[in-house]
Amino acid sequence: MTIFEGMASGLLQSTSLTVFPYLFVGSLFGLIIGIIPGLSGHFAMAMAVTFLYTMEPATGIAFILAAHATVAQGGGLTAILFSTPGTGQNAATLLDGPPMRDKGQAGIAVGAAMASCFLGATFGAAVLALLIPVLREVVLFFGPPEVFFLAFLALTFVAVLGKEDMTRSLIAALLGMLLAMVGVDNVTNTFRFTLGSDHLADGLQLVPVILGLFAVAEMIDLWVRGGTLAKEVPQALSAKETQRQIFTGIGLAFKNWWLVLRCSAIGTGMGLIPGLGSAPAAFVAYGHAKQSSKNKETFGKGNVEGVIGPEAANDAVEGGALASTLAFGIPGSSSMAILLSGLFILGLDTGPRMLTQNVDIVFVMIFTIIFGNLIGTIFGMFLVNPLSRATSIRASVMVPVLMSVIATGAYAGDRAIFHIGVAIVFGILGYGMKVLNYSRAALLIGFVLGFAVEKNLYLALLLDGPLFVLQPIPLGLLVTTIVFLGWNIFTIYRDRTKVIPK
Amino acid sequence: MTNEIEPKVNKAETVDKDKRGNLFALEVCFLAFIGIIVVVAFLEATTYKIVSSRTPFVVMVPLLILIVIHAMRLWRARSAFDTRRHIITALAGKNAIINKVLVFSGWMIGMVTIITLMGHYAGVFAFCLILMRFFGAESWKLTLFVSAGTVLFLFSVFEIAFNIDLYRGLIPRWFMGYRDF
Repeated sequence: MTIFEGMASGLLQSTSLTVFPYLFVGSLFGLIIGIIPGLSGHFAMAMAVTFLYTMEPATGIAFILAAHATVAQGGGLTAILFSTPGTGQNAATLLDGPPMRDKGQAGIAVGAAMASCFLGATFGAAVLALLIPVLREVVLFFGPPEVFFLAFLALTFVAVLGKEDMTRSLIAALLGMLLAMVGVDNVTNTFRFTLGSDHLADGLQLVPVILGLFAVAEMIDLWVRGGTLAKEVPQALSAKETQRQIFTGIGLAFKNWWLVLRCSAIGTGMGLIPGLGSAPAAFVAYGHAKQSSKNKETFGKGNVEGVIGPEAANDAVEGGALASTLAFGIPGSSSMAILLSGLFILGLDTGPRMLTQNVDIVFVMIFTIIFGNLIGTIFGMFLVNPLSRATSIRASVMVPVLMSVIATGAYAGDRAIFHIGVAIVFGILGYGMKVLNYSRAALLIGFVLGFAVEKNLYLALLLDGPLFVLQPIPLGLLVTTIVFLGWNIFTIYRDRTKVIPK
Repeated sequence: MTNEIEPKVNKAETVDKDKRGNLFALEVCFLAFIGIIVVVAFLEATTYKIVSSRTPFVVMVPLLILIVIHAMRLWRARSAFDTRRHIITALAGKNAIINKVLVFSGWMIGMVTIITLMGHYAGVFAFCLILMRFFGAESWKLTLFVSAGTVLFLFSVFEIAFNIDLYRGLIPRWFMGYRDF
């Protein structure tokens, strides 16, 4: 399938009556999840995964990706209106969004944020589309030895660049890999780490593990914290005034198109690097917006450029993150790991086959990001006041309901009650990891990559023998991993000796 | 003025130290648990054929090294906290957060048990009702409305929209005439 055929097919599929309704529902679902503080994009995707079993590939992809695409928009809305970012990636919006609200310009900030999100996401999607021909060529150089070492490099990036402690993150990543090895070994038919249970013969299933780590853990956290999610609900603006301000905000986003473009480029570029995620991209974009502004002194006091920059960047990240996930099957973040597991459930394979035979699916993703964000922007703008009321749902009401849906989702995959138990066990583990600052993203990425690591190590040894390590690309990747890890350990040690007085 | 503020500051410091102490004790237990599991898995892997145990060893060796490194970090920091006291307090049921987590986990297991015996809808209804009414102190009206609404939502989405039959439970299945579980 040529790229143009794939593009046309992707456009037709994503706008067809069988796919578009799911894209629409997914967008609204993501928007609402994004609005509720404490529930992240991972949660939206983890919940969405449970519905994939009965869907066609294009439908499933549109649903899960649309849910993920609009989370940042919802999060930006609450960051501005309630000083509570719905997700971590909206933290940078807190710097100028709430001051604008306090000046009576909440609608302008919301309009600018929503429009910037849409423009940023479109930029990221366009870059992904442009990268496909390049990725098609590059990916051919990546056989089993290269993918084996690339997986370790990606895990190192995730562990080192994440916000958690490096040792803890590396422990989590390797633990995730070890958990992937539970079950019957395909080569020797040996039962590994199954504790004699037939349920574990096929290994730990992705969906209950994902639901446990990211959905059940969040439910336990919300239940422990309790209370209402939004601590303060400000006086809502009148509908007429809100709409007027929102359109002014949209106009400002388009007026600052050059800033949007630069910050989107920052977001997309950082999205390509596994482990960085959208929160750092948003802060870098904020810094850039401030540095390049003519009104530096008004940043932090309610400058609309301080909203436009980070919001454009945190949505543009997706395009870059998708590129490495689709081309190499190496997810750079927990969201991409969940997306990858969704692709497995839908029977799709990443790598060269995805970029050649299923290029229409890649374009379904691209158009989903664009349409999903457009839907999110439109609904976010017009339903600011009613949507913001979602934050006032009490944890004592929300947790039992969502937990029931999670348990049903865990069961639905294989119709096995055992999987609800798996989700609960991983939920408790995930909560412990969250509290103790162990990276759940690293564990999940390790778990997803565990299959790839084992398969590619086996194939590499079979095809090239133990000296596969000495081939140019694997050697380069190995050296990069060691140097990157070594440099970070050195800087930690250096900083510690600088801080601690003798 | 200073005298009024000082006790508040001291109290805040004590609460903060207590919180950090709890986290430290929890991490000691967490790391010990992970460490024991990995050691057991390592010993188990030695009984497998080399082709099957090769990749687990590639993962477990650095994992064990990292666990030891982190344990050493914790060991060096042990003097700042009375870990034993924090563990004993938690085991005695005097740590509110641990209690909440245990109660919630217990009711999640309870939901699975009810689902197994009485079926999915009964389990979900009971779970929502118990948590909302008896732990969340919500009104009966809201509790019953939300619990029934959740059951209806699950039925509509899973059984009607996605054609996924949810589990009917051992007891209803017995009355339906099934004898093979």
